[in-house]
Amino acid sequence: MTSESRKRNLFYNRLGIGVSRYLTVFTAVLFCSILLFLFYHGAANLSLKFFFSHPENLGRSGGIFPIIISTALLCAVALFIAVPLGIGTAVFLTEYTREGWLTMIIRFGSECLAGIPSIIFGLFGFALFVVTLKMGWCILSGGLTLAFMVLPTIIRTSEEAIKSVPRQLRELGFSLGATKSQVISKIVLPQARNGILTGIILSLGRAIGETACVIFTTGVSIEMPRSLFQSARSMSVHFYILAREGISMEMAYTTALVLVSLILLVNLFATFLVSRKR
Amino acid sequence: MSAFLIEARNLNFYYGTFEALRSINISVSQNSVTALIGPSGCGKSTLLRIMNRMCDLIPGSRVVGSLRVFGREIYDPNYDVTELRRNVGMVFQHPNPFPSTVFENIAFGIRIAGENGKENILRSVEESLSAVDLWSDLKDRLNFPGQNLSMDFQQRLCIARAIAIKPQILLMDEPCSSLDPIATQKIEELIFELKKKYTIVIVTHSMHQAARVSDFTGYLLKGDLIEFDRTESLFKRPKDTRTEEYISGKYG
Ligand SMILES: Nc1ncnc2c1ncn2[C@@H]1O[C@H](COP(=O)(O)OP(=O)(O)OP(=O)(O)O)[C@@H](O)[C@H]1O
Ligand SMILES: [Mg+2]
Repeated sequence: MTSESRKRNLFYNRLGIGVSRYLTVFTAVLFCSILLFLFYHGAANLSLKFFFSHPENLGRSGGIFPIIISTALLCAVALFIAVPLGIGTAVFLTEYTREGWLTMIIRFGSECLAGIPSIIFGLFGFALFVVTLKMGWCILSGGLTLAFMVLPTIIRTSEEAIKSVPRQLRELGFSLGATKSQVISKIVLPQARNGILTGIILSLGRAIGETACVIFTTGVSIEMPRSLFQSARSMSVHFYILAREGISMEMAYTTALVLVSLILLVNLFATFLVSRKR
Repeated sequence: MSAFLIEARNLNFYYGTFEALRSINISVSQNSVTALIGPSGCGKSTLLRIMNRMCDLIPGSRVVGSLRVFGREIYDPNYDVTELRRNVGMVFQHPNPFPSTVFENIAFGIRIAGENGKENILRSVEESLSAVDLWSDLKDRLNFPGQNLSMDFQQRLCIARAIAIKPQILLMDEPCSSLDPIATQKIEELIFELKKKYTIVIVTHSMHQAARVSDFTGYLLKGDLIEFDRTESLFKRPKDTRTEEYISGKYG
């Protein structure tokens, strides 16, 4: 390599690092300003009471306790369905099938699902669970719909994670007398754990903040849900209604602040999991 | 039952349409060390990996002919592969501990085989580490990551892991190729020890190693087993001129 081209390479290298550094800073600044904005408008109402008391007067005062619980239940149902189904599909696609038309169809279907706007999922969930299966607006309908929505993410990330487990490790397992299912459960999945967990947590982040999907399938009831078969209101829906119907902008911002902080925590947790050495 | 633990008769092996091994006839007797030598790409690893059916994992591969291990056709469709692999252990070219502790590395195979008693597992771990002369060095470091050991220790750990499930045969694919001369010598000494309890088939690039450690040697060339004989005879009085050329260094 001539010193001329080496210099040029060095220049591009520096440029690349510089640009990506600026973009990172830009993203961070953007996120911080959103957080600050919400903080500015919503922090006044923030107190322990806000977390642990029921909303009063349609949400003009009081807290969001039932809404937090409803959000948690929705996410729990969604992950309870989507995680086993997603990991199972990923294992099936990577370990039990040769690449062929079947895997292609499943992958293509999953890619398409990933591209569908959430409001369409909401409509679909409404038509299927609420109307056709006569489940009505309830947490179960919403959770199932959310599960469909995050399924592609979980499949894709799990697939990538499973594929990144070196072939040699599998061979080693087989050479020690492990059966295929033992190799998968005792070597491949533990090795892929971090990648799979990241996918799950990203999905959780999406499910927490999802609005359109939930409003069509879970309804807007502000009461504390007593079972999965009751209508409920998630945090983002609560925010939407408070703001849209002009009930209380302050309460809307406070709810948004809690929601965004929660999503931030979830993502920080994902980062922590990934960076942690096994 | 025949006197041989491994017996191949007119064995052919194909990667897709590529014929990697042609009419191989080989017999391995109990408690012997058999070395497979030959130039790169001649099929040594392939022959080794057929013996515990690791080749099954390669899509499109095919075995034709007879290969008996412990007197039974292992490519019989009803043959239990996992049982075979439990009895025919394997040590790989590059030391490949699992990314876990020394203890877990060895316990893995024992648990897979269905042993779950803590005491029994610990005893097996001690036995197998002692067998590779690592117990005194590692007994206080059982929770140390296997991959952080020196190469020499890693490879011995891998041998310990292989023998922990009590196989009768050990297949070794160039086990010393990533080790320095001193570590190599230690592994060779270990092979002498292991021979008392196990039957060993070892692939090696080094003729000297074959001459030092083995009782029988097979010379492979482009998928043919040119000569298979007692190591002494093969090196002192090769019957085939191609073997002679190879061992006198004229090849290639
Ligand atoms: N998975 C595979 N698919 C197709 N061909 C293969 C595969 N593995 C090996 N081969 C071919 O089979 C032949 C024998 O390979 P093998 O690995 O057994 O040789 P080897 O004697 O062990 O060589 P080396 O000394 O380099 O390890 C080679 O020509 C190789 O290219
Ligand atoms: Mg080889």
